[in-house]
Amino acid sequence: MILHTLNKSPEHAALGRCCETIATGDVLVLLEDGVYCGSAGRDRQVGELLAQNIAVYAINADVQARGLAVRMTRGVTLIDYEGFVQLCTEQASSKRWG
Amino acid sequence: MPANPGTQNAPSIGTTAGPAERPNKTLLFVQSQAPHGTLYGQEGLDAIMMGSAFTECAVLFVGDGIYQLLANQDTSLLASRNYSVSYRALADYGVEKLYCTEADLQQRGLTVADLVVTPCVIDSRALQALMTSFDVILDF
Amino acid sequence: MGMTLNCDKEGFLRQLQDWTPEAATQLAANEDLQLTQEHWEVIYLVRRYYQTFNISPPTRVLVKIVGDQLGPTKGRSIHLMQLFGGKPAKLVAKIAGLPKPTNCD
Repeated sequence: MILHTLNKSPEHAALGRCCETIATGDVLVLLEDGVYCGSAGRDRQVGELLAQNIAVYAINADVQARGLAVRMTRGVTLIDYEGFVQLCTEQASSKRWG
Repeated sequence: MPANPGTQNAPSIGTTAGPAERPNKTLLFVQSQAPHGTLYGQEGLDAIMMGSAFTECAVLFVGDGIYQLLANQDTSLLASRNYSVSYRALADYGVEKLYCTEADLQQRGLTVADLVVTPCVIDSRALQALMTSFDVILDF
Repeated sequence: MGMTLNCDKEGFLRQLQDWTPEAATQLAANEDLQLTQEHWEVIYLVRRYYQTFNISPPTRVLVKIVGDQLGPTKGRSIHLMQLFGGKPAKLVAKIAGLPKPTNCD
């Protein structure tokens, strides 16, 4: 199982590459500008991942900073940095997109 | 830009451009990056405030740049300044013209009601005209 | 004598939340300045401005907002320079416990 991190907005190709590669059982963490990928109106791909039972998380500090607290897609779980570390320890390896 | 042909080849901007009778070049600042992920937005706003001391300035938000104006930003958990509210002060700096495009708002599921200020919403034809109406375009 | 304040090399408070009216009096005294009512109204105006816009206003903006809110006779750079010296925006920000204005012109 792989922990994927994505730190670019949907404007960038990183989101598409991540979605092509990620597999069921993997975990995706949206951080920095990556959190826009889980916000209302920009969440098409993340919605598809959620439908495939891929767990999607977003760093709360990055969500709050960008004014997205009320705009995040249902199903995306907000986590703090401790939660991020916990996820890292649970996965065998990680892949950074962006 | 036919309005002041004498300045077309001058590389510098602002009050150092030359003789006093030569008008300062007008500046269009283009904000194209989302806030907090990079320093472009913050640097751009600093430059706008600096430029406004010397000449006519306007700001165009394109692509993810419009996210800089999204309301309810709270950077208290990040080592980043919440400069979205500073855009509300631009009128005090003499910068009254803010623009964005309808397409960029729509693509992001936003309306002007979601923003801290109300930019003038233009279409792509007006965008072209806007860009040609300024002497210098500065990208951030 | 005076209270001990946590300031940087230029005498600006390091922590915004350390500011109190007493701290302002001390910060002014460090600059050989005794605060009058006319100083205080500008100090509080600039603090409100910072809380609203997250900006320490440079002098030309300071002149404008003082004029808008305290009246045109006070919204002149000569008035602010009489109160706060040659670089009013910088000194007001310092006494008001705010960051140094990025462009002081």
